[in-house]
Amino acid sequence: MELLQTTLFLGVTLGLVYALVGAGFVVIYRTSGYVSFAQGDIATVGLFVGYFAYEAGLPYWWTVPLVIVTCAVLAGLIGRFVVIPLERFGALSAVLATIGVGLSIQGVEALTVGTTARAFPSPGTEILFRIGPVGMSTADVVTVGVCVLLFIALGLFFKVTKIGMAMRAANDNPLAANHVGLSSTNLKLLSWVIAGVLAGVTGLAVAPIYALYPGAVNLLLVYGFATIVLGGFESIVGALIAGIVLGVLGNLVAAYLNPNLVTFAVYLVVLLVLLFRPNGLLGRRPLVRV
Amino acid sequence: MTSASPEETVSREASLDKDPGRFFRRLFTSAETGRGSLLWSRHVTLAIAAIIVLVVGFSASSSIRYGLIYSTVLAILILGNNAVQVTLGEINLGSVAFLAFGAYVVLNFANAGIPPWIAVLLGIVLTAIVGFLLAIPTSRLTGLATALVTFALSYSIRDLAIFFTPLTGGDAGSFLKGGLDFFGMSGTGSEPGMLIVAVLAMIVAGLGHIWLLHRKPGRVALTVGEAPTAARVFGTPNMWVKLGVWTWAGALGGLAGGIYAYSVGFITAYSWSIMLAIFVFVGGLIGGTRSVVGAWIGGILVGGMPIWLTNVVPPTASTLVFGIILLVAVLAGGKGIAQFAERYGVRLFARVRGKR
Repeated sequence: MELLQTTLFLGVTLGLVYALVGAGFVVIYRTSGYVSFAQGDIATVGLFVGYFAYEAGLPYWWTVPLVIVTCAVLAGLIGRFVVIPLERFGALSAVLATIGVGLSIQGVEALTVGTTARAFPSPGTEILFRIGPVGMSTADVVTVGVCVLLFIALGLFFKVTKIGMAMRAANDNPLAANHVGLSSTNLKLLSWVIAGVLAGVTGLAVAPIYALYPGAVNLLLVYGFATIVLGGFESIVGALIAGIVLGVLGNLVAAYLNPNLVTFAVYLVVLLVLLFRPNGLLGRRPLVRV
Repeated sequence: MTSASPEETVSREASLDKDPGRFFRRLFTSAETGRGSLLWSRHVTLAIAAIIVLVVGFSASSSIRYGLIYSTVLAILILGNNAVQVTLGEINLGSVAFLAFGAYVVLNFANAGIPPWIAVLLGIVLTAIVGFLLAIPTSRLTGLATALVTFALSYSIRDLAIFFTPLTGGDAGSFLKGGLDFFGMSGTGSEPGMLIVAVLAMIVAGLGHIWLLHRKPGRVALTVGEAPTAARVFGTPNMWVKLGVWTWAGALGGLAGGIYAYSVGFITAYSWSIMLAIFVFVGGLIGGTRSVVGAWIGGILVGGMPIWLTNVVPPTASTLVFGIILLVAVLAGGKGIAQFAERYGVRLFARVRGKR
């Protein structure tokens, strides 16, 4: 019973991180209609900047905004000057551009800082409180708290604010959006910046666990992809639910079957869901005028 | 026009005299689509590419030769990927799964005493069956969903290989006994015999690919990919066509896996990196998805170049080179080197004949 409780609880915590990765994809997909394979590499750049600042004596809590701002700025630059201009060749070209950017970032990191794994600082490993058999460390509490707050903020942003709704309109009907005076380029740029922020937060959550090296955060890409496929490409709430489902499922498989079957289980679940709900759990079926 | 018989060559010459505008339009269309009038030149370029690879491979060091063998293995894998992408319009990032399965089938059968060529044949057949089975659910997906699901499949292969350690050797790996001997020449590692085997396999796969793409199966598959509703209206069994394309991709993956197994001689779960799936996909795009020689060029870029450039570019920086090449390829319109060369070859031909 203790194992089950621990598995479920840690699964939810991990699932929130997966959901965050998925949310980063959703934000760009909502505005541009494709996903970015460079999310993990953007996070890694921010983490390296934060790591070296921390090594130079900057307190941990100051490295947090530094990492997030670095990721946001870098994502904005990549979006504005590389990927958005290449959209004119189609969504596939834009996706390829994100792969190209990601590979380039990994290469530059490998050349400049090397491939050695580094231990990234954590907000704290001491147990703050216990829920049943599960001890919650400072890092766990911060991760859960930040994820929940970010999801509430994202949900409100897309539901309530004009900019949030405009971002969706820019992808749904770019021509009409342009006619009513919306700048699709600026809205897409904003989506890249938000995705950069999410990448930075995700990186901060996982770097203390995975250690830091070029491409480290890419390990989460597959879970992020699975999250949006499962939850629906455009749904923030879907990403949240799917992330938690995948986190719990992964932990259950690892605890009761075999840790080496986790990724295959994720593949099977995503495939099964898509067969019966091609638009994901909470995805919208595209409306076609006939 | 889909064949290159002497009669048709004559009729093509006649049409050049009668209606040069139409003749060159057909050539340009063929360069754009990867099908049609340029069939003869595609056979010739495939033969030239094979000769170049063999000549360079025989005259160069074993490191260069190994790079060429590995490039050819990836080129065969790229051909399978390209079949899915060109005809069905879907992105397959699961090629590593086919490569791994083919390699492990050959490893197990060959180590159990089955003759090497039979083991490779079994690898092709069984991987084709796996391709067919995986395609049953996968071919119901479209667009980004296909790409992401196949990405997840590739990602899980390493873990699966570790899970099935008794069959695969897991992390520690397994040695493959024997070699694919070719008329007395040793077909293992970077031996010349291995290069001949790899090149022959590529020629067979390439000819099959060209034949399928230019004949009825290719036409039907293209229709299913580009206009599925229209295909259904005309009675095409879309699902079976998709399954057929995925099965072909699986068979090519099995062939690539078999040759890979004999060329490396030692297989470990760490061979199946998700980056390999991305590189195979990238190689196909850079080389040109509609061209067999393009697949070979792509294979050389993503397979051989990192090996050969280790003295010039640190291995850790190879991703930077790929990233920049990919970005340049996207900037150039994303149609690949082979298609670019065909288009400009036709343009040059038209200019030389003064018929434009």
